[in-house]
Amino acid sequence: MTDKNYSDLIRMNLDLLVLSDLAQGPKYGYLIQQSLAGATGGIVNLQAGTLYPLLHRLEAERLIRSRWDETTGRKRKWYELTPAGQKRLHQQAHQWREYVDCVWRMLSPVLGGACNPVGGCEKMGLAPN
Amino acid sequence: MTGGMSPEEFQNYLGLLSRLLRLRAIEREEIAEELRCHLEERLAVLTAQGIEPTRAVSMALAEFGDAAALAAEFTAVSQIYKRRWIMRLTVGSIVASLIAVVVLFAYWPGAGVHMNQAVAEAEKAQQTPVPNPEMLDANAQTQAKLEKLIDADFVETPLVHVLDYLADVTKVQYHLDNKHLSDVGITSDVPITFHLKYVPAEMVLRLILRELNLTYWLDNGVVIVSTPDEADSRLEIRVYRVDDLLDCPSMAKNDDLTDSSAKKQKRVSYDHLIDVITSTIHPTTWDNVGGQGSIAPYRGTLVISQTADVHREIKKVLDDLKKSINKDFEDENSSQYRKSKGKEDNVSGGGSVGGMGLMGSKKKEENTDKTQPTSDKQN
Repeated sequence: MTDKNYSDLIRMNLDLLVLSDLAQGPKYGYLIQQSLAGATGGIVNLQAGTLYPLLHRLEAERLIRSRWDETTGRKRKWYELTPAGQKRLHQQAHQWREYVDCVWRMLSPVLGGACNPVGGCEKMGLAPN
Repeated sequence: MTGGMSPEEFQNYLGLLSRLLRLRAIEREEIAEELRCHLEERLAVLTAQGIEPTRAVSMALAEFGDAAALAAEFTAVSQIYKRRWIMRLTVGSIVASLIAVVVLFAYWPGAGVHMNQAVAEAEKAQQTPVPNPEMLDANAQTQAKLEKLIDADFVETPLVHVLDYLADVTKVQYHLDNKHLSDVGITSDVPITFHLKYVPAEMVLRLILRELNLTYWLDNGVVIVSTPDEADSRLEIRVYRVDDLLDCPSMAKNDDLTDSSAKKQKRVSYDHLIDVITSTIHPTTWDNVGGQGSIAPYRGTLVISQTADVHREIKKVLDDLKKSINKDFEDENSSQYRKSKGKEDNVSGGGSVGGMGLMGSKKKEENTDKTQPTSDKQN
């Protein structure tokens, strides 16, 4: 995989992870960072310098929206999914499911595990084992 | 491993970031505020873990990375908004032009001369009005620019980006009075949904702000968006030339005048004009009834101290009065011409105060054969 592909893959991961985190309810930036780290067992440790430009970009793409709120006793900028963001999340999540199943099938011999596809490979034109 | 930093380094970092951000002031402030919240929360967690404060500051700031790189990321995101609005403006202009061409072909088939005139007039109306060389005042120039016809198509667009769009198309600067907006619970990112095509930018601005119970005024050519209370506390003094109204015959028919001396003079006096203004335009705001506004005559002008909203209405009324006076003059001259040529005068004379309707009649009269008598259409 080239560097560009890898960076694109990571970037797509982050968008999907942040959108899925916000699907559970509105959060502010610091809360999103902690939530992702906790949910992934520390594997996804999104640095603040990456998180906030990402949030602003998702907002510019109208996938999330923000509002300032002081009801928690502190003025914070809360983010939530828009209908467009919800739709994008579902689309990307299903695409990832198909992709992961297909890659798992291909890597199964390498990883020494049984392949258990859920139709992903058939859709991509690959015959199951 | 970096050494410890003092808490002032927080502010230094945010200050540096703010200076590097190529964004509007309000956007820089919001980003700085958001990052400050994160830094403070992170710092609280780190110190609660027993990390020494100066080291905690270093760690918290390190997670943000280089200020210049971070500023570049935020600035790149803002380009997404600008590209979107430039695309919409381009598409909207193309669509509007195509519709205008289709309409012209549909309603003026074969009338090549008239179509060329209509296209030329549409292009002229679309151009940003060139300020009269006499209008040296910055506010007057801004008012002229706000008359530019634009398309407005917003769907849950933050107010600040709506103003960015207006700034792009009108070449006018806008400023949000965030202090007073926050007093009434309005933020710069309040979503705006609004659709109108081919209307003056001023109308777009005024209607959008009205929905939010906001208003605007001009200050050195800059549009200041704020609350009505704040606007009402700001009185502006403007001078209006009215010598052309004072030197013309009365608008009313001769028989309508009750003052015999006015009948003879057939002039509109200062008092008459002032009475028209103060009795019809926000009548409760003038000093003669306890309000703050004042009006005084001076050498062919009226010097008026009022709020920006009232000034807008005064200007419109005076412009309409002058158009009506011009129409009356033309009708009167036209009548005298026909009489001198021995034709019957069937023009009903007298004018009604109006705007575009009278102007439309004027244009039609210019394009028709002058030997054909034209009945005066009353609005």
